[in-house]
Amino acid sequence: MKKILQLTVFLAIVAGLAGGALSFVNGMTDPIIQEQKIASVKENLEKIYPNGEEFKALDVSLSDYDALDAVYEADKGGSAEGYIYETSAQGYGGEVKTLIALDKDGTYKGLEIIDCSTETKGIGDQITGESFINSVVGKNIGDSIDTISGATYSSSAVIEGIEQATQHYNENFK
Amino acid sequence: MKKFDIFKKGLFAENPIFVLLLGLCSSLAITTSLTNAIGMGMAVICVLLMSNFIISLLRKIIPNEIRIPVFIVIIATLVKCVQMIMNAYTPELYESLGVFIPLIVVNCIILGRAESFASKNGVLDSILDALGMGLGYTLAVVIISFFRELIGTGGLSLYNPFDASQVIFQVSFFSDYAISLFTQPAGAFMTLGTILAFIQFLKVRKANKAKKAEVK
Repeated sequence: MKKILQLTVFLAIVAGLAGGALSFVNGMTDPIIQEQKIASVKENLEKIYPNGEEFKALDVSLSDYDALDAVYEADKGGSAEGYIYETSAQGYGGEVKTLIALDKDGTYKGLEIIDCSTETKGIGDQITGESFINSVVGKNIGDSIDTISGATYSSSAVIEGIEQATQHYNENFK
Repeated sequence: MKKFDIFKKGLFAENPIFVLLLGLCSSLAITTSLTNAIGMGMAVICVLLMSNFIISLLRKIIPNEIRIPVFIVIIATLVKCVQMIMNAYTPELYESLGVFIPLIVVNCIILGRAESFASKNGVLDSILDALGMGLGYTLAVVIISFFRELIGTGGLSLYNPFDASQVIFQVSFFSDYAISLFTQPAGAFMTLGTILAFIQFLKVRKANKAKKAEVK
């Protein structure tokens, strides 16, 4: 009996020390990791929220949403201004990557096409054109968004991203 | 001289991959490029050095009955630390090595050395053993990835593992004739199998020569 107690205490101490070491390293590296997560997309995030908002990557499970890659929160004065989703969905020749921002009142605040290099030049890349972007930005959740005729695959990929982002927003942040 | 032998045996005579055949899972998976292999090698050396050091320090006070759980806790903690540090300072390498960094925990090389060497030998010997085994692992994955990258992509490239934008060299020899199978897992098995066969061939030939010399 005494032996078992001894072993238990020893293992508990080792595990406790290990936990302490881990929390120390985590505290040291976590801010850097967070910063890096944002650094790669920060330039694009600032295009959508240019007024000195602070961004942070949210640690949420996106396994139910195959078109969503990451979620960022834009904060101003300590409260959330809106949420920005990084999406990627199958277009005509490959994946179309976008950033779509939803304001706290449910308005599409911004849309940035990050990567549509696999889409046909002159046809699919119309999704980067102003007329398509403007047909999304400013609309509210529930408004319908039209595809571009002739560039159905490419614009559908963007809309797929928007729809999943909206669904996630409705379920988590509304 | 004996100290040097402890170091050297990990490189050749007891090379963890080519001779002991330990830790094959990660070594097959990450050997798609030289850069990955060197990065993974360094991660393994770090973990192995620290785990051998700590375990040989504690070898007298760790109760024999629970030594394996204690080893695993120590190793898992070290691996997690290395993982977080890599995520913070070498994000590109962290991305490309993916799940195989946390899997260093179950890499048999680490636990194997802890159990069979560090728990029985002094601190200095254990550090030498870790260095030898770690470098042996690195050497082996570099050799495998050299052939896989060369055959699979038709060229060789090496980036600074700490900063992927820093290209050390990048050459292409026959990219039109590359066999992309070799960048796939099946290619890893073929490459490893061929290398093992070659090593075996060398060993057998050496043994035969020795035998012939005896007969004469």
